Amino acid sequence: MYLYSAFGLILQSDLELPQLRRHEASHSEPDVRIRLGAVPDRLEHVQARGLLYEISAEEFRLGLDGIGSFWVRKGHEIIVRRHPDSDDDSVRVFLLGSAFGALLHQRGLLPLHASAIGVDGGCVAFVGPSGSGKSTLAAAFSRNGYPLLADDLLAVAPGPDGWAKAWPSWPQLKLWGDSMRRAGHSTRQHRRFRGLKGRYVVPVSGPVSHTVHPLTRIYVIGRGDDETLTKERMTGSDGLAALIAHTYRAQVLDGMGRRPDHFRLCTELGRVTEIHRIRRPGRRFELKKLQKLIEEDW
Amino acid sequence: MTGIVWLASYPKSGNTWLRAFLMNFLDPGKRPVDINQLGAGGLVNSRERFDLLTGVESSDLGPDEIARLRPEVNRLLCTAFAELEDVTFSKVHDAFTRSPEYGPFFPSTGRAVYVIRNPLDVALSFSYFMARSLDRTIRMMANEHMTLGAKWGRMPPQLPQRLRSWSGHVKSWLEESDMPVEVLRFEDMKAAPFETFSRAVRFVGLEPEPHRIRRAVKFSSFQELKRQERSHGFRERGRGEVFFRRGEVGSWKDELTRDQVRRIVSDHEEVMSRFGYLTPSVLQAAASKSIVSA
Repeated sequence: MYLYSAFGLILQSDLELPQLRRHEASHSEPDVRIRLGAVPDRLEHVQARGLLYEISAEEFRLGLDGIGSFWVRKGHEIIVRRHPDSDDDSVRVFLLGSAFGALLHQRGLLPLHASAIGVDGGCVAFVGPSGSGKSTLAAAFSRNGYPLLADDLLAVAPGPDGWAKAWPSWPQLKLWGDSMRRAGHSTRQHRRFRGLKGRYVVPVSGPVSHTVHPLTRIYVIGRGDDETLTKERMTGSDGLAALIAHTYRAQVLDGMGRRPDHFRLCTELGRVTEIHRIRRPGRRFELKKLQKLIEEDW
Repeated sequence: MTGIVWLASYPKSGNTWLRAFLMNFLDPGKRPVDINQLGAGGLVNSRERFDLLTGVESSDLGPDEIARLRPEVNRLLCTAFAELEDVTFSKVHDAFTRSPEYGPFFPSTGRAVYVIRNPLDVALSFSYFMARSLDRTIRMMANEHMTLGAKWGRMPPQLPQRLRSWSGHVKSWLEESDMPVEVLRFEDMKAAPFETFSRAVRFVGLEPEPHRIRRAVKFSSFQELKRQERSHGFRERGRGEVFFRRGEVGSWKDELTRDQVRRIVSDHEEVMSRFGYLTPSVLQAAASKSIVSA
């Protein structure tokens, strides 16, 4: 049995999850239990489904051929049935990815599809479509000494005194070969992500932080049609739309009946956080220029 | 009529032109539709849509895992679009492939307009678009395993597109698909736009009202597309300086060497002959003594 902490939660797990921070044994009850066990082939009272998942008001099920299935229940429990041929890494990717995303939604948190770093005690997050460069950017800032808070998944909730709280996930980057080189890592020294060609797992060598941070700024990164690099503060409604669009696994919200709550969460978050839009050249990725443009704000 | 109509072609064969025509045909406006607002692109190759429909991220999956899921993702897409009121056009460069285990890549409930263009002209345009040498492009066009966006080491913005060879691509749609396919030759779109585009409109189940066809032909003319690209750029430009380059029939005559003509003809003779591309001038060029190898 392993005890971990992540997203401000204590997790008790049958599976070893080396990405996560170990939690010293305490008397407090774990918030979430991750155990190996039987997973039903179908959920009852399904409200929405995709190709690999099903959702009911309180449950989520994900099944991947050759890897395993994951049953996420009421925000408190994840039951994992491993496929006998599956490797640990693959099981962890989908457990800590889609299954955790659903768990955070069930708990009423706002999981953002974001990378994030710590700046002056606050959290600065980067969101954008796949390939926009958010991991590369976080990796580069991390090498410059900023603590890395998240690579893919950042949990956010409104705080009590007018600011949003952001919980870091785990200090690990998942990078493609070109991003590795850009961020100054050698591809030879690092383990391949799920054994796949061209993708690597990079543990963070710089400082990391595990504590909750006020979320101060969000940068929405996109590619423009031309060759210019621009930055602008987003209006309230554009910011709100960006938060909705970059919510992690937002498709599960319909089946859970949580769209209205989600909308409220995003509205509140948009009110207390500065949201900027960055348009980077469509064809070039000038990391240093981009970093400089963002650092001007701090 | 509803559902998806695939606008299918090998790259650089006139797909964007057809798309521009159809969007102008559907748009009642008095001005040509903005070339950056044509829509109808990237439906089956969109990572975002794949991630949304599967519930996992394509960037977490290996190429085989992605390939296995795609036929089913496409079936879901087609079912969803069949419920819309209007027909949905979707541009695709993927060949029509079928996995014995997971079924056809494109569900048989669809329909397709297939645009074909003389591979001698395609080679020129494709080489310019990719900024690769003509010889390399000609080799690519003969490669039965050709796939776009499958390069290792960086994340391609789109899911991989299986092209096959130029001949393999044509045959895949015309012989191996089990959906209705209407073939348009680029050269006919150029020589007889009114008749050719009317045929496409009729095929997709719309009424080819002459004044609308004429207006859409004018609004999607090569001059108009080029004018728009010059004035505000085109998002789908590729690696060349411009996307709309010459848009002519027979540019190969000034730009390909005899050896290059000969290789393309030898690689694609059967399909070229079927679509009337083995004209006397082509055969003559292919038969003459090569300037390059002489």
